[in-house]
Amino acid sequence: MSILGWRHWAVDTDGLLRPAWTPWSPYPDDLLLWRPDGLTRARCLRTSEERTAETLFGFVPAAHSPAVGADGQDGRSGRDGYPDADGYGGRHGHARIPDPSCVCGLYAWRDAATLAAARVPRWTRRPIVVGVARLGGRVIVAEHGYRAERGYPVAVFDPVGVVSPRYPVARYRSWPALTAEWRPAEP
Amino acid sequence: MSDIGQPLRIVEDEPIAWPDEEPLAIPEPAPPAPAQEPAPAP
Repeated sequence: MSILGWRHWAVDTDGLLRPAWTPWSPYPDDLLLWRPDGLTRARCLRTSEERTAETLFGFVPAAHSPAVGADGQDGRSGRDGYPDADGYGGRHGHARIPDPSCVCGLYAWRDAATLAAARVPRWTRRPIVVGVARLGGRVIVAEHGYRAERGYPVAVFDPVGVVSPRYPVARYRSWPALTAEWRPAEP
Repeated sequence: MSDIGQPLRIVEDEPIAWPDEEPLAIPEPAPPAPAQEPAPAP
């Protein structure tokens, strides 16, 4: 039984689920995407950025030296006027993602109440939906949530139908109905 | 949403699979029982 986590997603113009706290447009289209057709795997964005910088300049710019976040999920607030987010990684790659010393990974809160009390992303004009993701692989269990290596969405609160029908998820028009049917499993 | 708090532990290799890859939970239907031959009338 894998872990259930609660989270926000941003919905792009095609109805696809994107990180709620990471701008996806600067990256390849399928990099920061919760796939509708299979498991989503966390990426370490910082690692790929540093590799690019080292290739071009022979060193990593100082502005990139602090660890930043991750997958198409969510990280700390930050760079370039955007909130950083899911899936960035540590220096020169990790043996595995998520790495405890980094902020990479697929993020989710531990329960619906924590999600409901969390700050709502305001950096994008795209719709924000909330829901449940099944998480697995390597999972860092924290006080209020998770950082996971792999996952896929299983349920969304989507009262106006903005999420693509390509996702095989349970769709709810009522938040109480969603929370009544999905409960986090303790790892 | 980076504020998930302090790490408590790491779970390695928590099982997860795309639903299509999971074994079918519904058992296959049992084959129909062979028709009973009518008993001869006494």
